[in-house]
Amino acid sequence: MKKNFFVHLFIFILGLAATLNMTTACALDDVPTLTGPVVDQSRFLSEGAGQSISRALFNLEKETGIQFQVLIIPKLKNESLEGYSIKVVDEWKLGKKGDDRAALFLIISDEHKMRIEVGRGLEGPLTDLKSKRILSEVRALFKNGDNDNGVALGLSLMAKTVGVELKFDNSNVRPRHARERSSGFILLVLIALIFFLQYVFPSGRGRGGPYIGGGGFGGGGFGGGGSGGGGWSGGGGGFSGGGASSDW
Amino acid sequence: MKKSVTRILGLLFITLLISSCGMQSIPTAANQVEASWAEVQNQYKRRADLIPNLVEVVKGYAKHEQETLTKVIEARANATKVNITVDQLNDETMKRFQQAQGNLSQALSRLMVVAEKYPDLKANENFRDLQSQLEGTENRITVARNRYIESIKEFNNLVTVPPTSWYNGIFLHMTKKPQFTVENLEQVQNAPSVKF
Repeated sequence: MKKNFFVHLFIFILGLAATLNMTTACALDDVPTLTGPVVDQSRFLSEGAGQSISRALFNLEKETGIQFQVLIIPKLKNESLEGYSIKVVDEWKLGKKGDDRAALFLIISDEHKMRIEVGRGLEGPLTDLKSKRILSEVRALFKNGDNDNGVALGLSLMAKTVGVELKFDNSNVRPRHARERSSGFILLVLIALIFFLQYVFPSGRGRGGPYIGGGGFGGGGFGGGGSGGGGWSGGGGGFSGGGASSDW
Repeated sequence: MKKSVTRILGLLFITLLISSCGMQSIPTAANQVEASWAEVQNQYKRRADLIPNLVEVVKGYAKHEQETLTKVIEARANATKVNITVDQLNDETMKRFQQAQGNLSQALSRLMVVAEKYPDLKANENFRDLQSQLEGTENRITVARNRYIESIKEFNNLVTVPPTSWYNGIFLHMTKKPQFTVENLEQVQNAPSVKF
């Protein structure tokens, strides 16, 4: 009887461990959650710039249907820049299905690598060559440590190349160090909320998913970043490896 | 009593066979394979289209590299000759395709190593442009190949693994399609380093 109990307990623990193992395996997935037009996991951009860029990209999408996305992560695990980049766009499916006018500006901050991944709908104007040229201009700014303007310049040039204009409002620029302590708590709550929403609406791909302004968490900027109130998500856009990579 | 049981079982079997097991998924996967193979060929063609210009530019600066250049031109001519439609895909044709494109990859990377010796060439804007285009195209090829590999995996599973394979065996008679081989995968991972 007692032995039986321990056997059951053992099996229960084993099952629990297996489940936990599976959830952590899922959590370690390399592609971050698409929370907004700017996903900056390295705090590469200053807060004001992150918000400003985020709003500009949000408006661009609303007005023209062209979806530009910024993703900044510190490091790559065992993957090539190009391999990771295509994995991200395959997962996020930026742009609308069939329209495919989207592009990803990927920055691996600690490794000083970057890439523009171009969606099928923009491959005509934004060729591999033009992407490369844009990156070489961005490169000069990144080399000087001017991250904010580098990213903004890259996106503006991308927009210009595809025949649209990206408008930044710089009214909300705040210096980098002005981040308040309490923002950590808000961040935690937001993360919890995102996870909760994902569980409740597992197919959060459609328009109208939770939109949190990228980089707009701290410094009381909550609400500012997400003022659009609409959704930010991929719409099934296709990519086939167009674009260019560079280092700095 | 026994008769009706057999009948129900038979009916169940047929419903299972037709409704869910392969009627839709196998042709869908076959279409996917067709599309991804077209993309593979398309991207290889894109590469081939870049080569005449590249050769022209290199020729102007690297006059003593005639042999390397000739090899690239020959490999390109061979590669463009090998056109395989999705219906012609089998282990043999796939091998020919891989060989032709692999030879071109090798000839190209040798050319790029040679170009390294000529600073004037490296500084030439035209050459640099072609180089970024080539780099971009090599990446597109990698992506197209990976998608082909994925689609073949799915298709081959559907036609060989039950229960969908039963449906295939009775109605469709499709056979497995060839996958890019491992040695070639290595080649693809090593070859397209056209970076400077």
